[in-house]
Amino acid sequence: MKILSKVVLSEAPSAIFVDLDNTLYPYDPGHTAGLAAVGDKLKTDFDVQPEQFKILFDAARKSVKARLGDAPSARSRLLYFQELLESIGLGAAVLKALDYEQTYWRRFLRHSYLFEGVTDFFEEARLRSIPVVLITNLTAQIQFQKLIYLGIEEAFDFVITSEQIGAEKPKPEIFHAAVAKVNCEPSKIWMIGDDLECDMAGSKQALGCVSFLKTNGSRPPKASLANVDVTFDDFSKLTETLTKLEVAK
Amino acid sequence: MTISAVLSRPSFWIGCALRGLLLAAFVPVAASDLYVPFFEATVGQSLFDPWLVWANLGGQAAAFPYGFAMWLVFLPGFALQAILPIEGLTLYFATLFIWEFALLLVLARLVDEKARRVLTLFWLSPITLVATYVYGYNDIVAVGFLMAAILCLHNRRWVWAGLFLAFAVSAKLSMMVALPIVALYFINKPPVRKHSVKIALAFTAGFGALSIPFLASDVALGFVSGNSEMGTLANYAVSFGGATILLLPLGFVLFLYWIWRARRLSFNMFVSFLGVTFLALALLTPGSAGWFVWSLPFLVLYQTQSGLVAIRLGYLYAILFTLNALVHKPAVLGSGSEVDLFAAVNLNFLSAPFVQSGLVTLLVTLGVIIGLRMWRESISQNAFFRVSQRPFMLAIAGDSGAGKDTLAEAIIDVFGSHSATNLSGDDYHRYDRQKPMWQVMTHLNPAANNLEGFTGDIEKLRAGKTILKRHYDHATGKLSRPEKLASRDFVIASGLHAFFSAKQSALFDLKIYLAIDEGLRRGYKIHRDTVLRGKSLESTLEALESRRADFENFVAPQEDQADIVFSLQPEQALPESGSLDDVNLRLKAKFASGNNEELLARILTGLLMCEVSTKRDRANGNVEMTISGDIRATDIAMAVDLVCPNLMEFFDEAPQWKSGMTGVMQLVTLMVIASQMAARGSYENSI
Repeated sequence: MKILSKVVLSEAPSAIFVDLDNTLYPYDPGHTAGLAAVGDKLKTDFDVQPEQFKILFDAARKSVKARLGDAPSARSRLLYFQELLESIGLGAAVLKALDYEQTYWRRFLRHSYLFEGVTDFFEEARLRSIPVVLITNLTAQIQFQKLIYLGIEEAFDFVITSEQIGAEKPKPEIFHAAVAKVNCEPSKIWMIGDDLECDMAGSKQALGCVSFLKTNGSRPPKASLANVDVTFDDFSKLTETLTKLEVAK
Repeated sequence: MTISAVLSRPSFWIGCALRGLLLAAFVPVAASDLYVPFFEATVGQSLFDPWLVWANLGGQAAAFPYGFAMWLVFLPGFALQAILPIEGLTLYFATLFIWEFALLLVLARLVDEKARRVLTLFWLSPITLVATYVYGYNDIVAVGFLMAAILCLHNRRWVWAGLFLAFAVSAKLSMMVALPIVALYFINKPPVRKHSVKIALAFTAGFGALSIPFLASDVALGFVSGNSEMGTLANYAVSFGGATILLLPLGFVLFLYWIWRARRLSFNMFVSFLGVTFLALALLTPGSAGWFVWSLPFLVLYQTQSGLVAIRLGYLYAILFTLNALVHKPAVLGSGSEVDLFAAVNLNFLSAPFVQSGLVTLLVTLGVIIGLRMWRESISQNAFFRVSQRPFMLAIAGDSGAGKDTLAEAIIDVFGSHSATNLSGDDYHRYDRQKPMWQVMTHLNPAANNLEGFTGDIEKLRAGKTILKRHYDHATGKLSRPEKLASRDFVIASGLHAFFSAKQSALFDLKIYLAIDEGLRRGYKIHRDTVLRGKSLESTLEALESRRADFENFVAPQEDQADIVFSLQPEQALPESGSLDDVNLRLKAKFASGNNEELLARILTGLLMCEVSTKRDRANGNVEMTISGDIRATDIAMAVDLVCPNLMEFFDEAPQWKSGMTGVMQLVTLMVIASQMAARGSYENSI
């Protein structure tokens, strides 16, 4: 854990805001396994080779994202697969698109697991009566399913999705909505996330809070850390820090 | 844990720095005096018989008491000397470093989510640091091959597992001690037994190929017989009427016999048995650093799975190992002088013989404690071990056409027919269908069935015995000649009167009653008896009517004795005639509270998107869940993972999960089995 800015961690946070994907669990194992499962189905169904599938999927994703921009549905795997199926010459392959989406998410979940120390961290927050809010982009349904699969849905006082607010991180609306729920001093909030733009810059600009970047083994260049107060990779270090701090009055 | 994730950890680089420092400070005598001169003299001289080249040069056998695989490992590094002016010691340790790194990755894969701990427990362990970089031993190579084989076994790469084992044994012949335990894993784990041929063939082919140069060499055998680890076999012996009995092999064979008698072996138990074996060998020969390196990966695996106490004991053990090693075999400094460890820290009194004995005693004591803990935590408290003592007994009762066979098959499809079996109550009908007796009584009357024989056979299967029983053929209505039915880990008894008497009832760990909606039951029974069993519609309808009273008197009362009551119900009005395949079903499941039902409800609603309503009966503490929804087989697989993860070891290699409500019945049944097993033994500690 590295403290980068002059912010002194002298008292416990008024609330903890936390991102989900790649912050509380690693995204890649699930995503890789999910895509592989869909790739297998496409190979059996339409003889699409794995390398070709990768190219098609990337193209479909880019095309959906370009069209939908910030809307949460720009991340819908269902739309990606629908677009992909259209691109290989199938028209309304509704059942297949649904099947691939279900296959993707089911396999995704089965390969997902919490980072070590996450539950202890939330337990410490609970014991200190610090409200915890999950702020996440993507659609509510799958994010809720992830919480249940990971067994952490009870750790949060509130869950806020971009779908529910109509704006994605880094837009300030979603952060303001979270503050409105817990009604506390924004500058004393801890925002924990892995994305420099969405989580760090977004929360800093909207709330001026203390920002914690989960690095996941990477070493972001110093120049990119303008909006980051603390970098860390191990939740147990965060728990240790929290244990030592006085509860905010 | 990926390579980049490992490289990003400070502890990795601390480990690298420590290795560099040790190499700079000490002269690893075994490497500089024996191994490196051997490779430098032989690489480039002969590809297949380095032993002979060395012997011709007058070198001593201790320089290379290994097989061909060890030679192959160092060959590429030393071959570089032909083109680049690199020192032999550098190449030797570069090879070992790569090997250690590979072993680190293998261990990280084996512990998966706890990979980070492996960095501190293995990469920074004084055991490998001292043995490899202070003394220059190369045991890490053979251990690396063995752990790669274990990872392949874990990932079901049977051929690779066989090949890696061949390389391990070829590298160091004493790795043979692992082979019988690997063999017992296949003997005692029915779901993987069918793959034993693949691994045996791969091992034989690999070891055969690697042995050709070795056996073709006139001198190689002499080199290996000088291996110090082999010599330790003779350390413990008693004189017996003029002959000598070697205690180590004797103890090992008894140990193997005990494992075989345990009847069931999970993967974790298998790894623990290997760990206990290597730990015991290390402790019985505390002067030999090699065996300690062999036991290290198992110690690391145990430490990652267990708690803080295990980690602390492991550290203490490694420190004692280091002290003890340095006392027995002083390290040599770069200046050429031997390190007098105790003089250096002004603790001369520690070199007194009684203190040295004390050190060894402490090391052995601690090792025995660790071994016992390994044993206790992963073996004696393991659910697998509990089941091996007696089969898990499951009964399914219900009316004809309620789905008893379907459920029994669905359960067998999860565990595999090598681990589960079904004894059908129909096989105990007293008379063939053509007999006149059926004019006066129905199959539902207990008197029409040999219930005493049925109960006796259940008792025998429960005791693990094979029975002889007849089979009732529904198509012909005839009972067959007696045939054998062997007991399995899970014995299912299904039938109209599966737990009719108190005596029967007491034989089961779990009793399920199927109380299907009457309209559905009639529909299914008419379909089954007319289409599948070839009876006429009239006789089927007549049978339905005539059985009503017997059902009420003899079958329905079992519902009160059941641990789970499943009731399938239609979600819409049933069609007048024809197939019921398109009818949407919901399932009512009633069972005692405290069986993880809250987790089940969360998963059914939250993940599987089912409609679930839960009622609690305050009078008897039962829970009644009504579940409906469109459920896939893969959903059930995911839910079982979450609801009863500790049961996974028992499942067949590719368990057949069912879609729809049969799948939900599989899920609920397994959930209750898991919780009943927990009641039978301290099951939570199985890792």
